[in-house]
Amino acid sequence: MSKKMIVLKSSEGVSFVVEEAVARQSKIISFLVEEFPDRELPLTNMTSEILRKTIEYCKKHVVEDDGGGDSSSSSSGDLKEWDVKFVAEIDQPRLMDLLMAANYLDIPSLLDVTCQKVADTIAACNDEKEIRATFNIENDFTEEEVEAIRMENQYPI
Amino acid sequence: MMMEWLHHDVVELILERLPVKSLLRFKSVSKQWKSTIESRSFQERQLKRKGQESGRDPDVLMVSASTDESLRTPVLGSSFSSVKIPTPWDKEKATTLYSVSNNRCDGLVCLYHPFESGYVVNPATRWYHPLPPCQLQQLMISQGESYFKLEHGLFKLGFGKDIISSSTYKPVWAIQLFRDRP
Repeated sequence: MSKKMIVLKSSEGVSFVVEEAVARQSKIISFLVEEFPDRELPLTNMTSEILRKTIEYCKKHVVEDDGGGDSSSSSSGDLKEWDVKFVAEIDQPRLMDLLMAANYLDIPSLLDVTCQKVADTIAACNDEKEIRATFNIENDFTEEEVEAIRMENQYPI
Repeated sequence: MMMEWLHHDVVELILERLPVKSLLRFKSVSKQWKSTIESRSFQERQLKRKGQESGRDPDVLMVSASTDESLRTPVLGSSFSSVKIPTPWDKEKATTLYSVSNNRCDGLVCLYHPFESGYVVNPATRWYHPLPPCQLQQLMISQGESYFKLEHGLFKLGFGKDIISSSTYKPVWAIQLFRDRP
């Protein structure tokens, strides 16, 4: 039996042909495939680059339920290691895009690894200024307010 | 992609993966971060997640400068490094001698006093909440000195979480009665 393929289209109009089992890791795509079988699914808010990354992740994580698939089933330890490497290789802006994609497509495991990576980046920042610069967040506090928060929240080193 | 474009619930998903120490430091990033970090629902999820990871409560000590001085200051930390926790509830500048519950729960400790309202305190976040006087305290207040003639013995305060409703914490006054003593 040949595998059923579906077509996903990026914001630039590039089509990606993927196995249904791979794409179905997204709960949204899973739902769309049921509702609109045999249709190209336009993902207008995802660039080709991010869509390619997302598919790469889903291919690695697909669970072969018919046994003799071409993608070998990885042990959970290997998979974890692969995930760490996967997010480590992505730069900050693209990581945020991938996180958004995982959230939008509803892929819980991808959302988990990207959120964890962003959290680790935040935890490694020295102060709030570095966080604002890294994530481009506007400071809406006055100097006095920042100082008051700092005084209130002293913590042993 | 900018952080401010992220949905608020995604920002929460990221922040709940941080330890309390980082969260306290980074309240000053923006008003959105501060209000998220201080919200009860966020704190519950963060606690749940961290509980799955380690489940270690912060160390809390009550220190007294000298034995005959009625001054106790809650201190957070270890023997290497510690920080004094402000006691805004104690208007008399920490002159009330509070006892501290033997056990703690989800990082909360309970301070208690025979004749005064007790407090539930989260030493890590500096959150606190007063407890209304219980019946035993009301009896002690109304009886004054003569309470001790009742020979009710000593009391202890326990503090725990209601596992049925799962989000309610309860202080328990334990008292041993010596009515049959000659």
